Amino acid sequence: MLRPEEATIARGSGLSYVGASFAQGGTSIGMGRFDRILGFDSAQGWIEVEVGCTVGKLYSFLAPRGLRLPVQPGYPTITIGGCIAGNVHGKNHMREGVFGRHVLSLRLRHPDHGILECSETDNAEAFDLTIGGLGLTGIILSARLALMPLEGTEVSEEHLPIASLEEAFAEIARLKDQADMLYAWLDLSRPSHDTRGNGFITLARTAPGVPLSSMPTLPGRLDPSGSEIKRLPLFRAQTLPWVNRVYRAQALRHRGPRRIPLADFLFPAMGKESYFHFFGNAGFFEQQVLLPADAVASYLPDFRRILARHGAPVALTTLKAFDGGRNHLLHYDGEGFSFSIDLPDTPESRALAAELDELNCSVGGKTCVIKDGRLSAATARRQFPDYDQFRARLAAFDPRRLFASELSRRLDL
Amino acid sequence: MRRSLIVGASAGLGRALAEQMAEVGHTLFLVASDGQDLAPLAADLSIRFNAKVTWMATDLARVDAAALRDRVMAALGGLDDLMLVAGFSDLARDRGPVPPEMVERLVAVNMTSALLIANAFLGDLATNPRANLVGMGSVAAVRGRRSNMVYGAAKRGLEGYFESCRHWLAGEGGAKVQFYRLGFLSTSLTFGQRLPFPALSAEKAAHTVIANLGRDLGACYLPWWWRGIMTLLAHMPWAIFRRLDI
Repeated sequence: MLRPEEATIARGSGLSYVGASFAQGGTSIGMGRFDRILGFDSAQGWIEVEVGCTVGKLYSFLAPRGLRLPVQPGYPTITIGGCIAGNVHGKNHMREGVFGRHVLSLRLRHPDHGILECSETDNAEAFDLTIGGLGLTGIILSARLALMPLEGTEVSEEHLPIASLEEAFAEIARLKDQADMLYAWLDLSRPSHDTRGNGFITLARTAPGVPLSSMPTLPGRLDPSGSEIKRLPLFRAQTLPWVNRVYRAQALRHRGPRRIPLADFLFPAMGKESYFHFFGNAGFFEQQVLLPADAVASYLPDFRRILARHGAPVALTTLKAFDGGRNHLLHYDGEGFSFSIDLPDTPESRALAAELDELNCSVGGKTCVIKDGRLSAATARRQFPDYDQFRARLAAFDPRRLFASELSRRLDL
Repeated sequence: MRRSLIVGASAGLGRALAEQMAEVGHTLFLVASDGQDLAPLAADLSIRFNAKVTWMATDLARVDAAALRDRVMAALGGLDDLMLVAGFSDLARDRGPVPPEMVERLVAVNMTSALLIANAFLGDLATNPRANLVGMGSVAAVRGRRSNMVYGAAKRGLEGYFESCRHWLAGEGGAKVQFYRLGFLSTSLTFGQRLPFPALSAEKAAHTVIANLGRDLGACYLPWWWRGIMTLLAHMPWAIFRRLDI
């Protein structure tokens, strides 16, 4: 099946922002139809699935049985393979860390190694490289995942108004021990006038909800494949402040606490797919960076200064707390604050992001490689102490380097 | 509890039928060529829906219908729904002369195997008025064209046999017959192709097929709106039709 003469890469739902599932001239292997549940033990708390299985399908299966995945990314059609290869995080990093922490074992196919059963004890090197390995070690066939009890099928959600970027960091730090899930939404859409960054914090605690006997599979409408529709670029410097003002006002109308279904909270992008279309055909990019807590005080004034000078409108700004993670390979894991901005893909936005790259390097920040579609190899090398080690270990595991994507080529892995 | 045999169960419409029938409580016997694909599907259906699932891998070009019937009867103790879904086409090559093996395989999988299996169960279907005989044809069989030549012929042959089955079973007071002329479905058969009309998802098609169980439907289009297109095509004057590159 695999053609060794060209790059091969697995593809889940194709939802990463960074070209992780395809390469120019290469072959993408679609895993979407390999989405079956192979084994399940509710007493011991594990499930074994083929990697095309989506987090939405698993949620629909697990919730009525009183169980959940410990870490959930925010869209239901994201596949388990993508979660493992990207070692993703959810809105509760400060509690449960990254996805890879909960992978008990996996089956990996590589043309030169055959099918490997990998865990911390068997084929440990392949296991370690495959989690957060961006699909570069082969095709992940299936995985056994640890589960946690689901405390409730509803969450009690509160929206707390925030007046500035500085306040958002301080409040996220203060609240992180009180919340099960926590993130801030901030408005930086008028950089040249007002960089205060007002917004709101969403704080959620799981609440015992109505027990569910069954659930429909969650809908997901994002389809990145081959649609040629013309998208109107509605997110512009002139329009974004109004969009954000309405969004913020809307959220703060319901300060709560109020009960909402857990699925609505876990998958906030569900039903808001048009967000991505509003950037127009040029699209957008996201810069998501993990900042050490002690760097924030010096980071924010510089961030504001750079933002004001470039005047590029930020469409979306979010902030989450990270705790208890470790620095390992190219993983987006560690401690501090996860700070992300979405910008329309314009030359102005790219110039802004390039200058922020420098700032991030200088304060010890590291960029999320599965979110930022323009991060360069040089910047990645400066931000990740394990960059050279990851490259060398990949080459040792697979001297022919059969697996590659646009992402791995850009990062020169 | 309904007992259903799905031939061609591992992909596309057959797999969607397997999932939805398991969900509503059918006991299933699944047949397809690839056991590596059927085993995980059977595990999935039994874990998610607590369904009782038996499966058998076989190459339909060489199917032993009598042996299959023995296995099905041993596993299910009877049969309520015979779903003959398997099929394959080769749009790129099935145009003009093709290798004889290809003619044989296209006819064997798309027509002969379905006839053999239906024939093996016909006695059971005749004595069970609650039963259904369900077959999958194609819009490609409605009017012969320069593409899908062998496939279209095989599916038209299949449709003819189903017509006869419906007549015979009506006389016996037995199973109801539903035969679908399928338009484009978004399955591996159409993956990556540019299609002149929108493709229906396998899930939606399966939903319709299951909703129609028990109805004396005969042959119909799925999705229904292909009826208009095919009526136009079927009645198009030869002077125009011969010039169409379809």
